[in-house]
Amino acid sequence: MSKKKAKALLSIIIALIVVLCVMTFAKFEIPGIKNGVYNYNSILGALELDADLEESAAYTLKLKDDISSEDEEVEVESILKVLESRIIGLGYDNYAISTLKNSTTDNYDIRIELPNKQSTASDITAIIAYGEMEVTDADGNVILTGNGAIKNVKVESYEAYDQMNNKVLAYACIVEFTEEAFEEIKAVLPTTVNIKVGETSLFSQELNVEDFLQRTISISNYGTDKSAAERAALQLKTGGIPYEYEIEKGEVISPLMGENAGLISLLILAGLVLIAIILFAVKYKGFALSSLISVLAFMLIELIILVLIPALKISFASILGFIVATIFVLSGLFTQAQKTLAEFDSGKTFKAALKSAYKKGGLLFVDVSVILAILSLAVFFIANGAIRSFAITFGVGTVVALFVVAVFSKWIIKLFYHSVSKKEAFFKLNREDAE
Amino acid sequence: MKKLNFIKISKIILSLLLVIVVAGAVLAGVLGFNKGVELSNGYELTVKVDVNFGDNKEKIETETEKVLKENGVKYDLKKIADEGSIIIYQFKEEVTEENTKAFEDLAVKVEDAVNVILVSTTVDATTAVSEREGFFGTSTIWWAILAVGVTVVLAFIYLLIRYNIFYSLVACILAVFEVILLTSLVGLVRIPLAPIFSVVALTAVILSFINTIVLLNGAKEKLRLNKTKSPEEVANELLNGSLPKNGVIAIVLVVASIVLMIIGGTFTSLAFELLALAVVDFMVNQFAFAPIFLPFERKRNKDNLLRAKKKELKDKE
Repeated sequence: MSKKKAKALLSIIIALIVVLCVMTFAKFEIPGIKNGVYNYNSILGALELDADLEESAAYTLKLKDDISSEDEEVEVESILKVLESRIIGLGYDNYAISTLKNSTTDNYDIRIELPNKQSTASDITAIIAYGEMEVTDADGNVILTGNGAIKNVKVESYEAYDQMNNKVLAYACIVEFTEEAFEEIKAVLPTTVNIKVGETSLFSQELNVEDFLQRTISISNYGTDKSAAERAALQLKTGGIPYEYEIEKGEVISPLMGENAGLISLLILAGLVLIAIILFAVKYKGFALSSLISVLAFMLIELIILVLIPALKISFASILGFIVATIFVLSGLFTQAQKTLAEFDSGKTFKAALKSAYKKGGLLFVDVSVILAILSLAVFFIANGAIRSFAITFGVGTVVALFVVAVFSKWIIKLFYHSVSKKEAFFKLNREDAE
Repeated sequence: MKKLNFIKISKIILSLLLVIVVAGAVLAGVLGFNKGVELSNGYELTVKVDVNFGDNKEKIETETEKVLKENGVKYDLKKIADEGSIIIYQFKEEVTEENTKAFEDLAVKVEDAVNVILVSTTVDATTAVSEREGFFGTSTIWWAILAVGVTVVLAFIYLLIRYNIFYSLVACILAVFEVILLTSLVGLVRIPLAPIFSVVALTAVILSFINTIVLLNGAKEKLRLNKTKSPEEVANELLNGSLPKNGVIAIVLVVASIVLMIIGGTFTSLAFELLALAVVDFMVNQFAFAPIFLPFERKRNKDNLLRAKKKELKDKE
């Protein structure tokens, strides 16, 4: 490659990175648009933030009836476990629950903090739904009670037609009863079967034995409202809470991690990358400059991918995942520089040393990436809570890092090698036979 | 550059690290972990006004915090709700009758003080016993441990295919050791445990795998190419090679924790946890590798020699 061509390519890459860096933070009005005003809101602005980085909704739940005079000790932990499982079941990763014991009445208030999204207000009613599931016949006689009668509940979609006769996707709650429970229902059929949780009626229909498909029935009165079907499934699955709570007040609460926590962490990350690169430069000189370009490229690619992932919410743990992935990239670039110099020291030319180091290092980096990808997947599918957000950004980072460290950084080093005049000094090469 | 002899001191340092593990486990067993305000019981003081006062938020905060200071009470966490019409102060304090009475008195004092500066609105300061211990985030930690367990098993299988059983064991032992050492150190020096600790612990596993696989790969290559070098020499060369990289990672983590300490607030626990991670990661990567790797490498060599001898005998027969 000629020096001129290498310089031109390097300039284009650097210019592209600079433009993307500006686009990451800049907000401006797009000029030249005739109808209306269009604003560019930065790459960071396109990321949706989770409850710990943005204002969240806090609900204080108060007991409907004063139970302080009751002899029984209130098992608040079991109530909280049900609430927690419902919150997780509705797809919330970032939440906080706290109980507040009134020092005079000994009653427990519960405060739940959730991300502020469109369905939060209706979700909270499902989360605090009171009462056990009850199956009754036409005369109101109880056939079954408690969620022990249910083996499985799931939400399934089916094709339906709306009022305009358009094909739409509708949702149903598929309830599978246990064998014993089904026998008890069968004994009273045919009759009108009513299913309710607390005061909420979920199902009421005249049923015969044939209407059951292997002990399952379909509750399909949710139309296209998937969230409503999911809320009903959740209530049936988790059982009831023994006390009735009322929402005292919904409040908008400051971010759990404090104001501007996201921006502070990103600025810290930028500072840390700079420190690492300076330290890198002390030992590896020109490799540090190519690494800076590679790290910036990594950060920008990962940010753009995160923007493209639908419904992804960035939490503080996500930012930590991003930071750890950046450390992984830096560590990989260190190793590659070290390997290249070691190969060069063994008598190879710089080009041969680079080729050999990246061949060996590439395989090594695949090994590390595979293990880290396994870790990200295991955490994503097994764990719950904020740690899942960490797994998403770190997992995406692992894949991007593999490309940046094993392929992109080699191109950049090559471009620098062809662009600079004093190659030995630039790359700290001490042998005389360097090309 | 002069090479350091890591092999010579690594056994002593590993012994010290094991002492930290035992001491941390004993202390955590006896006293429990020093849980942060998000994970422990305490009190909550809520200051509410009936109108949204926006600009007056700072006045309320100043007045409330003045009362807290006068009474020698320091809050651990502050939350602002409804643009400042509700301010919640959380305190990590042992729940006793005496403390409950003291916080009730404190609420009265705060209410009186804030009423003086906001005469036209109704100010309501209340206190409650806040119970967080035992449920918040507990399931999250257990699921995270299970996920790490599954990862270690799968990583073991992958490394077994790519390398050999001994290298596979070394990588998994070091990853588990690093996370145990981190938890023990946090327990020993009483670092406040925040819910984010599960993420820090996961980072320890990640950093351990990154470093160990690079070292094992290097060992495999060097031992194959240079048969005259002993495993000790190779391990020492590799550890000298990884020193700048591990040093930079440690420096970066220390700087990050210092910055977070300066910012304070909700970042304080994370800052101390990151500092512990910086120390643990550097110590495990530089000093625990050799004492765990060398016995396995010797055993691998012995097995290889035995296998070669058996093959030779078989060929002769």
